Amino acid sequence: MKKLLLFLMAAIFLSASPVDKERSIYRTILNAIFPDKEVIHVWLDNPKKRAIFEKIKRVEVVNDHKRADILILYNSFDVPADNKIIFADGYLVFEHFKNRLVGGFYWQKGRPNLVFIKKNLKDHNISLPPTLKEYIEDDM
Amino acid sequence: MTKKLILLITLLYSATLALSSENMDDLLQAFKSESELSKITKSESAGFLDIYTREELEKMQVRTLMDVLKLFTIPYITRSSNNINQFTKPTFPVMPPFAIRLYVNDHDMTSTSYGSALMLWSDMPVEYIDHIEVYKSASSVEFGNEPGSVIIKLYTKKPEREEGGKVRVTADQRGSTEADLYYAHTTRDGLSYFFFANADNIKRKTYENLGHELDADNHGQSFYANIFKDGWRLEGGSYRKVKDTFLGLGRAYTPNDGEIDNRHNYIQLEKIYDNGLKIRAGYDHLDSYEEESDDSKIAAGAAGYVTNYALQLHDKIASFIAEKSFTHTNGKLLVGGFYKYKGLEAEGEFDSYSTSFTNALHLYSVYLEESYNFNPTTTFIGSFKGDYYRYEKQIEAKKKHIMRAGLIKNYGPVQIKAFYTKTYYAVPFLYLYGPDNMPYKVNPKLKFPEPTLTSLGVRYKDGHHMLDTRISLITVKNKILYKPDGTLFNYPKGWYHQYELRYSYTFDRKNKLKMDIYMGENTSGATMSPKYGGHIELFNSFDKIDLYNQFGYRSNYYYYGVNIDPTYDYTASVKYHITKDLSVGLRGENIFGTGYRQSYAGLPYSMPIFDRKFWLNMEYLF
Repeated sequence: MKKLLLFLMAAIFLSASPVDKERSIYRTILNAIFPDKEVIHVWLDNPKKRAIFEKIKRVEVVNDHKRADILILYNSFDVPADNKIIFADGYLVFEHFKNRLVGGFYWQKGRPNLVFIKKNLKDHNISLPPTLKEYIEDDM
Repeated sequence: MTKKLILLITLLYSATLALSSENMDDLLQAFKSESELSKITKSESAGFLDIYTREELEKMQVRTLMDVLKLFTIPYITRSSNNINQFTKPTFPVMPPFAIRLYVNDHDMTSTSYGSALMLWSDMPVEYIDHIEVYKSASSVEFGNEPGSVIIKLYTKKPEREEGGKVRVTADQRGSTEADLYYAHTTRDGLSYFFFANADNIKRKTYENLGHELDADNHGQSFYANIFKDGWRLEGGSYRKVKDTFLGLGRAYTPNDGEIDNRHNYIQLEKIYDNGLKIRAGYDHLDSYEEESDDSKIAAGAAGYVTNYALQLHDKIASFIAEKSFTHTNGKLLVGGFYKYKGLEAEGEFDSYSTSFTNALHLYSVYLEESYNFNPTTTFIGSFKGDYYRYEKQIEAKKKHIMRAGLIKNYGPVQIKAFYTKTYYAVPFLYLYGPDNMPYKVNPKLKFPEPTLTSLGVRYKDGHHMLDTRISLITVKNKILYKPDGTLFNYPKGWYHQYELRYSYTFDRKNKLKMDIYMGENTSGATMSPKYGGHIELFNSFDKIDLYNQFGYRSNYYYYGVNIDPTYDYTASVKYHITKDLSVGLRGENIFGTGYRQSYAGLPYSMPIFDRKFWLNMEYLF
């Protein structure tokens, strides 16, 4: 019982960490892109971020990008040219794939930025909830 | 009882998650706050720590380091008669600059002639600085460099977080102008770079004394750049400041003319290996020119009293540092060493009399510091640093050492810090020789001051509140004091006490209150500078508007036959964000003109340290 108590207290403490905030942001993003999917298969090119996604409910991190519903890219500029949904986790990837990715979450101008691209969302038939509408940009 | 607690914690946790998933703006703001670089760079074991975060600096609309130094408690800032920024501790006259060290990232902004280059860099622009950490009751062993008890660490903005640039222009009601520009980029192969440039032309209020104008205008240029790849970082900076000399150095402060032209260029290469090994090599070059003319005569040592006074100093500094951290099951051991070459050429011209000297110091240092965790709430810090000073001429070699023991104990929301430090301050060439002791002769009797600091701090941090109390007792063996003729001598032993109380209340992520009060007293009981002081700061954000209010107080004192009543400084700023990338702001400094004042020997009245100013500010991110 005491261990459980310690675990819960640690969870509260960690909820103030940047890692936990980043997890909450990605949880919101993935839930918005895949509102009806029971399991969201995510492929990452940045192994350091794996722990963030593994702890998100309904998310399964896969090693084979062909199984993925979404590719979250930090520093890959050459991925198979299939029609997977791409989301950028870094500014350079966002710039590189901005004609086809649905959005990006990255540091720029000293602040974290969240951007979705209207045309690309439409190409993938994605409709975001009203709470995220303000982050949709017509054109980049 | 335990079950109820678990239920409560679970509910709180669920509520936190539920709330955090509802509002993306709040989440992004929280992520930004939790990712503040100061949370990564700060070192609780290095002393009592005050942090000025990026968010705070932006709301304050600071332009220069001086805008932050103005908020310092112990020591606090003042200005000398010849318009140099210097520090003093409560009840003390101006203190020698070498006890306060300034770092930009890991580079010690040192000086051969003055010991610390802070006197020049205190005016530096800070638009390229991410955050500022101030360590008090420190020993500097942890930072592996020259000794000092107050360490000011400036951290530059990270290229990987900037990715883009900023341009900022400011102007004030007196006709001052300033422009800043920086740009950062990271390439696909992981090379990142950052560069910054600044130019300013600052107009200050002109006063008059006995028919002579007292000007304090100044202008400067600054440049900084870094390149980072695979653990290697190359960085360099250049800063030049040209100042009018205000009252000057004359006996009756009747300057005909006067100018100080200081410049500092440095470059540093650093490599951080995965195994914790750090190596650094640096080179600094400083040039300082001071020219003054005063018909009331300027004291120039053996040259007597002169009308025309000119002093040129050229410093060359090379340093090589290696250190390694060993992490073990109960903590961390830091082991390091460095070699530093500090060369100086000095020339003086005093009416028809001229003189010069050169000398150089070879400084060898080894140090180690153990941070041992007895348990998750108790950390012991033990440090040792051994230094060997070898001079090329005239001055005998010296062996000095620093020892420090500290304990950090956490009891829930309470943190107790206790430090005991036996240290010393290295007397730089200009004090060993004495700038006015012409022709230059070494003072063989001048010894390095040896302070012993005993400090206790208790911090309570819970929810929105943070209360921090600090008490220090400092005894100084061989304290350095000025004789009336300007020469220096050792005072066998002195002591002083200092007390500081800080409180902050965080309303939410955008609104915060900070307060501090301080007090100090010295051996003699004389009050040669304010004994008490304090600040209240309020940071607010509403929609697209940022507000900042700062109120400062320094108590009355009597010095050089002048009584100075209590002084009050009110500074405030407002910024309007037109878009995410474009904002305009207004900052008022010493708004009521009742700010801090300083008295000077031989002047029958005091002078303001800061002008009353209103700065218009526009900035654009691209």
